[in-house]
Amino acid sequence: MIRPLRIRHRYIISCLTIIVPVVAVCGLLMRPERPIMQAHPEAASHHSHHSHASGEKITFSQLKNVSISRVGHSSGIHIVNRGPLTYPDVLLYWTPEEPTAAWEPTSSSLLVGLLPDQGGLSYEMGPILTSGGTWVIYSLGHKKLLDQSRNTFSF
Amino acid sequence: MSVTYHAVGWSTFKKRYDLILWLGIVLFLVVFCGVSLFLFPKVTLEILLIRAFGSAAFLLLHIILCIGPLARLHRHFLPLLYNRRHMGVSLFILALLHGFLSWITYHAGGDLNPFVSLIVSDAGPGISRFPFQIFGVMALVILFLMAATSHDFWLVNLTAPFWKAMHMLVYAAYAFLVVHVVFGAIQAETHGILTGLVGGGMVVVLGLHLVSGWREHKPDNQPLDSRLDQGFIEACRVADIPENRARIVSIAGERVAIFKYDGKVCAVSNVCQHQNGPLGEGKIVHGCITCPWHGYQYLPETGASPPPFVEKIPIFKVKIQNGIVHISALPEMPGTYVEPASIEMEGI
Repeated sequence: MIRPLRIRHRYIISCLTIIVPVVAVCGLLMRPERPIMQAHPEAASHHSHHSHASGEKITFSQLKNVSISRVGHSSGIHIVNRGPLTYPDVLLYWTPEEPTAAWEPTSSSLLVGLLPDQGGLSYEMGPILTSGGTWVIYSLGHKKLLDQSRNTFSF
Repeated sequence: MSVTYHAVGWSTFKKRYDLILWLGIVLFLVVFCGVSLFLFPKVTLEILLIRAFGSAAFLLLHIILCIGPLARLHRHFLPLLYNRRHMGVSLFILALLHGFLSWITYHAGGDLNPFVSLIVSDAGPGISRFPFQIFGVMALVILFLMAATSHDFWLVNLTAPFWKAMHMLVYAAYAFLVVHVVFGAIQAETHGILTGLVGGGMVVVLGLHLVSGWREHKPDNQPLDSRLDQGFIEACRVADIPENRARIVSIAGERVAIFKYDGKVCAVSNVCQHQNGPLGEGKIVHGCITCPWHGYQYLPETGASPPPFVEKIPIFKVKIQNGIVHISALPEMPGTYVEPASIEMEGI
């Protein structure tokens, strides 16, 4: 390269050496404290759920086909639905507040994931699993709270 | 090297290079998808492809950025440099696939216009509440510009210095992509391996550039006045120049390549007219100085390309005294005939 370009190249690299690591550290510090939901690899299948279930289970008063059980003594949950869903876009939330009938997801509520249609799904919850709060089943299509149940998973 | 433009200047070497490149890309995609399916069996096809193409593009960008400094540090890496533009175009294709699939998957199914959604969706309670997708788009635009202008037509018409300066935007693209990954994927995937890989890549890319830059900084900044003697400057020992190759010296920051061939020594600008490649890292082939990057050739006596080519580079007067090569501090006009210094006449 000719000298002006080499000088420019040198300035660019000097700036990058400072900016890029700072940006990376900022990104790591800005990570949300609450866990991002993802499939629990140890409990991905229905069989493994049963073989690792801890016995703790949460049920719902209206949607009696739906239950949430803890995967062993880990922070994973397995949610099972044994009946057909009659609402569109049914989601499972965890929220620290006590929801009313007109409840809508807030910034403090946590979207866990889809409620399965006649089947089971597993999610990794992290430490939030034992922090109280309420499980909410919510239809995004109708913007309606369908059911709720207190989180009673123990430490 | 060609007098006319071709879409791709294929040669056996370039075909082999591209074959290895794309075999490597396909192998990476297959291994990535296999491992992902093993670890996350419920992952959907579109998410799997988005992750695979994105990871492949980011890895390829790291490789591309490392080639330059590696070639500076050791000539064994020079062959990687010859066809780096094909690697850049491949990078753009992978990035485009990643971007297009992400756009369709996350923005095409809602009420909002997909383009509007792309801009405003990060403002809500998304992954990081930081507009990481915009940084991905900006990087993609830069990669497109670079891929679209990678043809020699643009290189000639934009001129090599402007073209080279424009292609330095790759560093901006790298910075944007680090932001895109750190505020995107790493916000959701908190596993230490991913963070370690991104951090390690950063250390390697920036570290190699800093080391190679440091090695070249000192000779580039030597003052000229103290070394001048009747318009000539002491450059190096004849014995230090390998046969049919060059030694690169710096005069007031500009580099000069001093070649030894057939019992003679000549000195030309180290900057190739084609893409500003380092001629001094090339060699004499069939009596011509040959650029290591793309094979552009110049006659050592004039600095002009052999007919029908028209490229010319500045050339320097040379004399040998007591086994030491001295070169003129100021170059002759490009294409001027300058008698090479004879090693035998000096009795070396």
